[in-house]
Amino acid sequence: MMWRTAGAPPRWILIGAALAILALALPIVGMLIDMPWADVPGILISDTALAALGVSLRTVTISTIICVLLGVPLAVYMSRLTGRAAELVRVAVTIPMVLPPVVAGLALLSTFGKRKLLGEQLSVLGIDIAFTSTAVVMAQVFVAMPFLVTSLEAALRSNRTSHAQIAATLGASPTHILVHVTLPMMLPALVSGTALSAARCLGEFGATLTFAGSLEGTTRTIPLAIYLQREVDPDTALALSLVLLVLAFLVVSLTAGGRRVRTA
Amino acid sequence: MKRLLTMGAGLLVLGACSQGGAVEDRALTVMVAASMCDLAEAAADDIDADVTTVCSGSSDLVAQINAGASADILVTANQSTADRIIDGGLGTQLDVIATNELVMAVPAGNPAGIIGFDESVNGSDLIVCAPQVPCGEVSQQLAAANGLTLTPVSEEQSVTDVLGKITSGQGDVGLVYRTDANSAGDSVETIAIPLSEDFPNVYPLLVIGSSEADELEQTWIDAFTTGTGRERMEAIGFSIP
Repeated sequence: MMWRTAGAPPRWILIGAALAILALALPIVGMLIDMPWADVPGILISDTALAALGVSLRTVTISTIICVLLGVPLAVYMSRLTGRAAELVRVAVTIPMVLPPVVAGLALLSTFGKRKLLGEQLSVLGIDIAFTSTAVVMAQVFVAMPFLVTSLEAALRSNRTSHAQIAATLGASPTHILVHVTLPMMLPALVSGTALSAARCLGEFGATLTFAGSLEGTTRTIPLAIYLQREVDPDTALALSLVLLVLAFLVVSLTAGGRRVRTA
Repeated sequence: MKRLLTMGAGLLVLGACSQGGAVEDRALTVMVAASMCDLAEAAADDIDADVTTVCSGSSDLVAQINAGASADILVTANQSTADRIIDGGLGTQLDVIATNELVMAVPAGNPAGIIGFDESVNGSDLIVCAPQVPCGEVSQQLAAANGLTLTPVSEEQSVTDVLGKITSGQGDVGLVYRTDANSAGDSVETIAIPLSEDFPNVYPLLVIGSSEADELEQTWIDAFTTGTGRERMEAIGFSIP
């Protein structure tokens, strides 16, 4: 075995590392063993599963696009901020990420609820959020966008090269520099940040349940369907979990790919 | 050694109890469904005995007893969970002590103007339990009995989830049990549903590890289900058969 950086670790490290791998991998192995493999294909083409898959894919796609459209400008802006203002904005952006999802749901409900502050005004304008896919998307964006913003912002900050300055001295406009110099260099971070926030959207549960409700084909995403089926039909819950597991695997591979490009 | 002997004597006394004999200083453990917790604690305060009240969801309580937890009396919030104890030979059902029925709960002020259990509920944001869970199954049966097909905007996992959507004002009308609606106080109003008494939710009472109540158990049962106890149950919306 090759040790890339600090040489061979002390042997006792191995005990902790092995236990850590067990703690993380064993539950996944257990679930794969418990999986009703023979029934999985049948379950996954059932109406219940297809409806949940449809809702999840639709909402996650829209949420991820919104995360990128709004998150990239925020990350760029934050990376140029300094001092106290930067700290304040960073705290504000990080809070939704560390909040328990059910609290995120309550926060959304208090603000956009049908009989609350903004919800009532929007309702007058004919925009109904309650119990629609819009509510699901709002919940997903709220909890997932910070993942994109923080990872992209960190990459932008640590990028101390002078490419942008040189481009500026050559007469390029700020927009031209951003689009043609800065962002292309940030592509790996952007890809992994986007994948992370898409994964968080896909797994969103508490805020959706609290804020959007649960109706097949409209608001019942895969996690909500798993939650409901777990008592009455554990096999369906497991088969749907497999879908999330596979998608999680793809996302992690994608982010790992992004990291490889960056370190190369 | 003396302590050991005392413990042995205690065990003998407990053994005697399960044979049906009454002993003054015996402790009683009652397990009751969460919705009756306050009532059970009030009943325990009313009698002169050492009572431990354990409250949780019915299926949790049954799981605890199946796992070997010691209990003298069990009250569950539906028949199917009680049947798991009976089928396992762990206890005997004495009676159904109370029933609960579905009502419509609307946010205070009834913003959607719901007046009856008819097509108007489908025109508003209706919240029900998912058909997969017991309260949702009963909701569907009750709707069918009233010649109505429900078109909810959300199907929740439990009655409390339905109630949460109503107290927050997010939903216009929800189908919940009367006692749950009453527990929400002034934040919701209730509207009765025709024929709901034909689809009751029952609360069976079981004695655990014996086939009939001994004197001490009967004292608690009486305090819980008769006189003041009965009044307390009726006050929060239970019907007494």
